[in-house]
Amino acid sequence: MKWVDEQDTFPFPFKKHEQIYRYSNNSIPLEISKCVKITSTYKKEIKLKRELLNQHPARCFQSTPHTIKAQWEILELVIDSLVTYYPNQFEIIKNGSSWLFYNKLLDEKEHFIFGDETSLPYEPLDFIGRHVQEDLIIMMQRDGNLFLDAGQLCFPANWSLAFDIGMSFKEIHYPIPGFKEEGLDERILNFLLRLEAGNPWGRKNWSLMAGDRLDTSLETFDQWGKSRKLVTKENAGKFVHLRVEVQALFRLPRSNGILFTIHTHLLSLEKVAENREWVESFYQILTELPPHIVDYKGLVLFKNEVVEYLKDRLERVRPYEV
Amino acid sequence: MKSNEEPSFVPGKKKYLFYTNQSGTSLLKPILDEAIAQNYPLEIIFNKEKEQQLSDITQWLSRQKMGSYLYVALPWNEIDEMKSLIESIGFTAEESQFIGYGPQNIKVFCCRCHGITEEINIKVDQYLNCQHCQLLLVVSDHYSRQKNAFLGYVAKL
Repeated sequence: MKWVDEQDTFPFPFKKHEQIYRYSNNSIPLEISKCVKITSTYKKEIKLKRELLNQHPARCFQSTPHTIKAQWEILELVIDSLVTYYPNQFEIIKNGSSWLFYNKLLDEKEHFIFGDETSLPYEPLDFIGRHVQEDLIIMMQRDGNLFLDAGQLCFPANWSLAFDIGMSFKEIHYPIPGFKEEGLDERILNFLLRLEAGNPWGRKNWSLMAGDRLDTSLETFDQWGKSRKLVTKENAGKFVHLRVEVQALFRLPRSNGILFTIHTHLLSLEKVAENREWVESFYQILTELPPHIVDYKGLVLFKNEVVEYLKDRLERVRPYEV
Repeated sequence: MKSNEEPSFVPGKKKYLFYTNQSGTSLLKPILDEAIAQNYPLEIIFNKEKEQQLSDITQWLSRQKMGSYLYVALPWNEIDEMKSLIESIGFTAEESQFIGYGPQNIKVFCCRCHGITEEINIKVDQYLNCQHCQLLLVVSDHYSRQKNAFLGYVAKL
């Protein structure tokens, strides 16, 4: 089953002519308050998501009881986005607190009483997450701090929701090299604490994936991590994928929590290399990448092969031929 | 709530509380000296037999006022139980420090099966097998207060 993007819809994570990558708060204000995006791989990804949730519930969904109100807020926010931006695919009929949600893409109708979780087959976050491609994370704010108190996470980039549940923002990011030492954890936390309702922010994060697997959970690393050893200069174009997470942050006005959405995209290096600007930029960034970032992003085993592949592509394609 | 092998002095509190035994006193001495030197109010309680210990500390801590800061120094095998008790009384992670000594039972969370494996005095970067799924894990320094455990990663691919 394929869930890779097309080149024209792929959110390449670097700016034009960008040549250096460092950890930073690279968030920018979102122009439109849209928390989900439907792409051509919607049905395949939803099928995979639901399989993972059914087979590995503790891995893919965690919540603490005090998040229920925030979960309902998120359900409402997501449904509003779906019916506003995809009116031909989604519909909501509200009769007081009695709601009928219609997902026309999947031909599914769900009637529930807003605010009454017994009227849903799953917790509100778990329910609405099964209709969107994004992973959905709730950070609750208390005592001047943010805590990961609930999440539906099917396509993580090598982290474990089950381990991180209940952690503060700084505790979650403790393993990132330099994050604390450079004061980034404090700066980003302060930025998040000041996030305002109605003014969402977004950012992109990236990594490289040996293979095209979306479910790169820490729990399955012993299965997919091995593929990093199989990368060669010759197979990198088809085998290795640039993995981009389009992340968005929404303040929830009633609960004062934060919704953090993650939409994961994959594009083979072969497709990346068809765009002259992309391959130039990505080649420079990878070549210059400091060892601690290479290590943390899990690139040690195959970075050199990828760099060689990109270099070869650059030499073969004359400037602006593509 | 921090668990360490050495305490650190947190200045500016209204009162400093120390709960320890004879061996733990030496671990807390630098903090005691600092509190005395700065003329802070303080109280020291030495722990007794286990049955007496729990009721005594509950009563003692329950009558303390906001702004108090608590240091506990005990053998590692008594720290977890004491932490739960003190948390239930209302002391938060920001108001207390736990200093352990002696053999420490370290809990490691398996990244694959979520099982917890306990081993005495295992250190970061050392290997152990998950007791539940047998995966060889390498112990990291990523710690979960909720699970009171360190994350164990896949040791070998």
